[in-house]
Amino acid sequence: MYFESDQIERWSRHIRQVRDDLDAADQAKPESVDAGPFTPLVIDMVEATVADYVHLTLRLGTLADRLDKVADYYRKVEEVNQELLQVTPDSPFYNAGAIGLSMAGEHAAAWGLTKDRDQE
Amino acid sequence: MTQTSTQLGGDPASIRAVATWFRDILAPRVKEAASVAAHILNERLDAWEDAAARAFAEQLRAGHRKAEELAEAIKKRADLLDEIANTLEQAEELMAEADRLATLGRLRREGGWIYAPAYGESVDAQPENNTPEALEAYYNSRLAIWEKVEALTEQAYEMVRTKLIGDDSYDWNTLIFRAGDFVKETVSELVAEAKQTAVAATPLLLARERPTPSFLRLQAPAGHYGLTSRVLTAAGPILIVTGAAYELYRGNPPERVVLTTGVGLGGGPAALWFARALGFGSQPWTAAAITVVGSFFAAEVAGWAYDNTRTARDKLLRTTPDVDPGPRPLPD
Repeated sequence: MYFESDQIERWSRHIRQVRDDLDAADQAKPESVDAGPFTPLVIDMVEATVADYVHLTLRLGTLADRLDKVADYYRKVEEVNQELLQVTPDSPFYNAGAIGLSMAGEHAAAWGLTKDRDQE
Repeated sequence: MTQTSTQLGGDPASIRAVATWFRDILAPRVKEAASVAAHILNERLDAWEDAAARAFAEQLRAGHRKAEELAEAIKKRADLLDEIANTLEQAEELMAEADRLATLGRLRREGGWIYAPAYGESVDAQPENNTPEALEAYYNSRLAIWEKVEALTEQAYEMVRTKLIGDDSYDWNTLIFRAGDFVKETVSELVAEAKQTAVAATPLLLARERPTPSFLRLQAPAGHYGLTSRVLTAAGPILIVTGAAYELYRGNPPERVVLTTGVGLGGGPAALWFARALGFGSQPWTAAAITVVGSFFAAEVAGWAYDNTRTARDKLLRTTPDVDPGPRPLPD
């Protein structure tokens, strides 16, 4: 098990940037369409495409949020680990490092990232 | 027909603008989202590995595939929109030509309609020019122009209708969405309805449950041909039902298929009943031949009637609510 909080955070920023670009596409949308007898078909096609597009945008936003939470949590784990490294083996807190690591997985599960973990 | 219309709205450029938006703005951005997902998947193992990371990768991989599919679908839809714009443009050119000819032939226009010429109508203001021969020649030339106008408008409306319902490439909806599915469901319902009609109209198919009607009972010796004759007598209707599926596959309008199928199904037994009334059709093979010919002939007559009793505009208006609804705002 290993993790790099900074890298996870960079992914989140990258995804959020793509999400914002997708959002901005609305500005280039034509105001209206006059397709004559094809109007119902064209409107249906645009509706269908916009629905898919919005769905993708929302999913990317959710993914970025979750990655942020994961990065935050792993960062806290790293801080705990740094503190524990200062503790001697005789200390009653010595085993807390391992407990912290396993908790990382548990919290990730709570955020929905390890849906399949229960099946493993 | 005594009247026709050149009314056909729409601005092909506005459809092309939507296609360009799809192709140049939406598709590349979705593709970019897919690329970012692929990039993160490539980097993931260097930065993060545990159960949560594996679940994250699995979700990201699925999302990447979907984004790739969506980018391709949007490009295909852009191509379809361009095809629609081209069809509309061609149809509008035909209508413009029909309008020009109608003006040239001084055909009567009223309430958006162009009327077939009447003898003695729009004659020369100089009475000395209105000899019977001149009037006849003038009428004939205008009639020829009218026929050309009518043919052009029919061709334009038919071109639009074919693009609307006769093109299988509209399966663009099957990937994710609804309008094409609605068409398919509609077609399936019509086929199911046609099959139900077939069962109702040919009780032989349910011979175990229903007594065979007297007009379909065969005079087979000692019942040797009982099953054979029943199957053979149902040959015409069975062929018609099979033919209905083929007609739909070829892109014929569903309402035409329902009409020809229904009439074809009734035509076989009717022909057999008539033949028996005349003393024919008691042998299985004769009965089968009569039902096949009867069904086929009836279906052809129904198809001819469908094709020749409605204008292309009437048929088009059964597939779309309006030929000129005007500009519509795009959905948000």
